Amino acid sequence: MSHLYDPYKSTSPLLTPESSSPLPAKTWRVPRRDFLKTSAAIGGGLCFAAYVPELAARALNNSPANDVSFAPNAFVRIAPDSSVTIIINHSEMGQGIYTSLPMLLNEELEADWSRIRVEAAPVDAAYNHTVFGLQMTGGSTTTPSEWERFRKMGAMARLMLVESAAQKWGVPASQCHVEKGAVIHSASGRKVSYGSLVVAASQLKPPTDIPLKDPKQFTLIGKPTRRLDTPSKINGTAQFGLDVHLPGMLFALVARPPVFGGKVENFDASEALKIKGVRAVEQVPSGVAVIADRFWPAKLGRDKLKISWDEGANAKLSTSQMLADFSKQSASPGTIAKKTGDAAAALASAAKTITAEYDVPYLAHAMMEPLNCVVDLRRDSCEIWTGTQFETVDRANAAQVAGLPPERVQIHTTLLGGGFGRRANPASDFVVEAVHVAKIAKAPVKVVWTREDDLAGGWYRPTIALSPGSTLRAIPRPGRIRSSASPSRRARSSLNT
Amino acid sequence: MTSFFLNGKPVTVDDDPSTPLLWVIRDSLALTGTKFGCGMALCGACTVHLEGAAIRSCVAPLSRVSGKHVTTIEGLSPDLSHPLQRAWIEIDVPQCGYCQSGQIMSAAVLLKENPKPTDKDIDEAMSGNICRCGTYSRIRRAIHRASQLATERRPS
Repeated sequence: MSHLYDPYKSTSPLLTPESSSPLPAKTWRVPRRDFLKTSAAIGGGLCFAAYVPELAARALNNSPANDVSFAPNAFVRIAPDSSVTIIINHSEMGQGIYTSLPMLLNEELEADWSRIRVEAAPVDAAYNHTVFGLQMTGGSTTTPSEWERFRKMGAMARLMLVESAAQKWGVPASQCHVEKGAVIHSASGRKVSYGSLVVAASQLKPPTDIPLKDPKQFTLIGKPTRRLDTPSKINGTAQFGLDVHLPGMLFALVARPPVFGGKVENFDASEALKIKGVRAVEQVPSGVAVIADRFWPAKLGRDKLKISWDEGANAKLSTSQMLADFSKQSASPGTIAKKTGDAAAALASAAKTITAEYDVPYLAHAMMEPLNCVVDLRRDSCEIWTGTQFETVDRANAAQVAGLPPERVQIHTTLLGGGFGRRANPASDFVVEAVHVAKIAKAPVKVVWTREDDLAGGWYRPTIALSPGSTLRAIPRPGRIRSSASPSRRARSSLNT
Repeated sequence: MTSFFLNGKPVTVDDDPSTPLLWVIRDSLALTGTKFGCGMALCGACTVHLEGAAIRSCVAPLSRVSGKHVTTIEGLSPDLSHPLQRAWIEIDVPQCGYCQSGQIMSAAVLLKENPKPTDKDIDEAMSGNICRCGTYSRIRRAIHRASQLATERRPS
């Protein structure tokens, strides 16, 4: 017995259904229409609700009965079965925040930890970084920047659940406490699960005064806790950007210039178009896109392209020339960031002066998962699935290319197979390019970067040349640093011992 | 048309026989647990089993598996019960997780051939699997732990 399987028509019969993962595995295989509906529901009610929880309750009234859940704010949703969905506004790329942020929230909510599920937040101002003011992940800031907000969102939900139980029993809320997803009236021993309070709690006005636990009372924060995403990452169900499949989706690779700033002069696609499965070959601002039914024909097609490049102003630029330039510049006076003491006098009177030059080359971030981006561009909407660290910026850039207002563009943040900053850049290079390709594809399209594309494709960590100078007295001891750096990332510093 | 067995079930695909198995599994059969990392057998993210041996599916043409049995991470166990999966959970090995399917599939072959591997055995057997997050020390501990769990499970 054998069968043919069309991945775009149904869920794979080969998938192992069993999964104890708290992540919504295979979420992105749902029919796109349902997805839009879900996104619209989230966009209309939940997203704007972080500081205006009434809105969430209002949206609830319009929902079908089986969708009823208690969503006191944009970060947590409790279902009638007491399962808790925590909406995470930062990207999980290995640092563990799909576990640490739920820990913060549930420290105050005190739901049953085994019933916690995680969902990636849509793009919305409600999810902006508390310090940087846009939705993003980077700089090792996620947990510290959410330290208070996530606990408050959990506490807000708990206060409302307790209040609704107290009203139900006709007792003061102060006589009730919570334990593992249930409210308990201590005196009478009565107990009600969070799930049973979903409707009643949704009718309450959210509290404005939200006291938080004294850290001495913490039962979850600071305790070794297993990661929520481990099961999905060891049975193949975790969804990275590269794993997204949409019905009728095409695949594309882009041939990019061999030199930054280069442009296509002309190209011959005749051989590429002969590859079975190649649908279209067209120029995009970043190079030449080959669109095919699957990845492999797109790759074969790209290999057959004949492109003549105009390498532009950087054609003659070389690493050795750049370092020589940096070295020269580092000898000129830079901008002084901080000045302490009299370095010039110390240098002049030093017993011995040591100087050395150091340089760091451009470094590719080399994430395990090469860059990729799925775009479904319609006349009046644009949906994007990708592992990104820079949602707000990506959305604005994508909207511009799509010719749509940003609110018509939605980004579904997937798991990231590593980020290291590569997936956060002001040009949103991998997202913008995919929107350009989608304009040609006229179908959902997944743009995939090969490993070679990824390593050769730029937005590297900057190169740096550094020339520290040291002066020594008789006995070296730890000293103070005078350093200066210009915007071109060259730096000069003196270590004055 | 090429037919083979994927996780025990017969499948037939119309991809060109020269297509790397990785893309057949991912794009045509929609099992995405097997990952694309380099396309050149350099990183191990695409590791699957062919008749019980670990292969890099990114460089194995579809024609090579015709009529044979291929196992992917999805086929390792139906319920996370494989000793390696239990050990991986216990020790919380993954970070970003992208390389872990390949790591586990390589480790599964190692344990089958060498149920009590030393650190050196593990380092040698796993050297073709790259982890950008650097989970190597936990991977090594988890393989030792899985070796114990596999022994415990067997009736004496």
